[in-house]
Amino acid sequence: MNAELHKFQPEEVMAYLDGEITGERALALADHLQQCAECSGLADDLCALSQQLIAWKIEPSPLVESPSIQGMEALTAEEAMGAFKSEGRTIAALPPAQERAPAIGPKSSLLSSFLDFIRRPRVERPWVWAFAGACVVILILSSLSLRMAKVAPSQSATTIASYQKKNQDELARISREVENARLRAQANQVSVDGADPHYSSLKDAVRSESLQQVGTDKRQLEKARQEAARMNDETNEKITALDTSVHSELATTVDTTVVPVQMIERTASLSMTVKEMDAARAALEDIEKRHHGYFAELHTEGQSEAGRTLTASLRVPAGELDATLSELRKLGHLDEEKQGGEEVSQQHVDLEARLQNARNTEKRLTDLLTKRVDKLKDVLDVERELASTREEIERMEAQLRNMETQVSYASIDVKLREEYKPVLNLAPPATGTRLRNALVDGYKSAMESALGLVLFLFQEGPTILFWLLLLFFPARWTWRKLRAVAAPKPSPAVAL
Amino acid sequence: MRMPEVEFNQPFGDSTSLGAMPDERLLLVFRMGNSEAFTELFRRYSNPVYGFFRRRLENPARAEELAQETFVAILRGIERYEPRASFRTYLYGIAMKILMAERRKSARRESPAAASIDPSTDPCVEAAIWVQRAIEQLDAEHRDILLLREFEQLTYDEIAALLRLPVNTVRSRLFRARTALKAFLLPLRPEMRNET
Repeated sequence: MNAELHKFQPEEVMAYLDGEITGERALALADHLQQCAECSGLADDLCALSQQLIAWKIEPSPLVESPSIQGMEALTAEEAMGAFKSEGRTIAALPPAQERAPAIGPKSSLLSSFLDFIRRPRVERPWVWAFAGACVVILILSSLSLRMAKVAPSQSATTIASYQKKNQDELARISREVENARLRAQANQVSVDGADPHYSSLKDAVRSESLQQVGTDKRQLEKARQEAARMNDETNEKITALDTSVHSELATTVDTTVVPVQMIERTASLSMTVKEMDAARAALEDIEKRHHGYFAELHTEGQSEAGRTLTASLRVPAGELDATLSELRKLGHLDEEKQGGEEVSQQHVDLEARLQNARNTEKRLTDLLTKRVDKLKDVLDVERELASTREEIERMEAQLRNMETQVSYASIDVKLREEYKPVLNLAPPATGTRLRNALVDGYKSAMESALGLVLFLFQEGPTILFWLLLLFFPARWTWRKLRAVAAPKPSPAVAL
Repeated sequence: MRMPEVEFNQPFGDSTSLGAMPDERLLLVFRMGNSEAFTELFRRYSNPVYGFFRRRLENPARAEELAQETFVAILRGIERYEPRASFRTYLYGIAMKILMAERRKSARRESPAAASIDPSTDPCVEAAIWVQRAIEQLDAEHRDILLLREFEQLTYDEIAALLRLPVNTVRSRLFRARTALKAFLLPLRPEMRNET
């Protein structure tokens, strides 16, 4: 189809006929179909094709041949819900089997025939029994693997709970299968008993066959029950044993486990402007003493008249931090304040564990050195390893102490800035003092200039002397040459 | 894809209101304890599902069994059902899986067989046979889409979700299937053409 002549693709025409195109596009396509003969022909062909396909009719489903959908027995509906309801979804909820017509019969209903299908003996379907057997095998394997597995103490309780739930689910599933088999057997019996009179001639044959089937089902049912009961007992024993072992493990673990205490390194910094630096510093030292702290660092800068600054790193016990800060804020105008905290509990626990391991290693090495080492080379190797371990232990102990100190003492960085106050000096100095100062200054200046000349001569004299000696003779020779050329020569006549 | 709108705040209602409920809500109502809802669903879809299998299998009894298995599967999976797609997509998705499994088993046992219609002199039956044979000549991928559209009356979106294909692919394949089927049906006898 030429796209220039047709605004719509043939597939769009088909989609329009199928109701897949709506809105303005559908309106435009409808208009186009009225105007375009080719597209209209395509639409007619597609409609005719669908009409031809209708010829392939299928007979109604045998399940709904009976019109007795209305008034469906409540019992039957409840049976369906009992069988598949979400809560307590178990076949065991079904009431005892009652007489009913065959699945497809004049008095059948939808769900009764449907349930008949569900309850149909499935002995010929070995996958049901294979599934039950697989469940039993999985149950055995899971219980054995769980018993053999080393369960982490922190996860033991959760694992036991999930394991119990899983086993309960498996047992419930096996029970459902067992009950299902029992009900299928009963339904089979009932379907034989309640057969329509038209089938009476076949009744005896079906009954005998069904009874055989029921007998087979019952034997298998009994076997499955015994197996399920045995599995239940075994699983309970295993769960009890595992529970006991895990509880004992938990009890020992709780004794040895160090409950981590929350350790936080607290820091703070204050930047303040004070009116009087001397008073502020005195107050700062007073605060430090009263709160049993110390100055890790203290630095002052600036002249007394030009606005001094004081920078200090104050360490106080962690419990005194808040009180110290509140007192420090009263020293002057607070420009900036920062507080921070870093949790080091995990680091502390890790470090303690590593330290404990290193101590154990040291102990083993010491035992090895005293008991088992014979050769000198081995002794030296063990000694070297022992020294390395001890060094590591000392380093970790230092880290641990440092960490505990950091936690027990909070750090406060204090920066005090004094307000700038220029001092106006109105009293002029005395004239005598000024004359004396001028004289002293003149004397100092003369002496400094003389000293400077001497220093210059001492410093530069050798160099000047060297160059004078070096250049003196060439200069004198050149001077003489020039003077000889410039002098007038004597006249020859005069010479004669 | 258009999603079904399910309102959860409506009461369960009686059987007459159940008849007006959308499929997705009926399934949710059944899950909440009303068995009449499943009866209504069964009434609506037992024939279409049976036709689905009947058109694709030779044995009517087997088609009936598979139709029942489809509803059993829906019952067993009722707890897992979430109204993310339309119920029809869910239903025919299960039916399609059961059909594929059946075809695999049939392929191991014997050659695959399609639906058969008893030959007779009835012109309607002859037309049905003619249509069936024409459809059998289509490729499998075209045939599935054509059957889902023409007989199961699924929308393009539903077919695309069911077969996990893009909607445009579904549309183009459906068009090709119809074009090919039209060519296969052309040698139809004039009297049959008039009848249809």
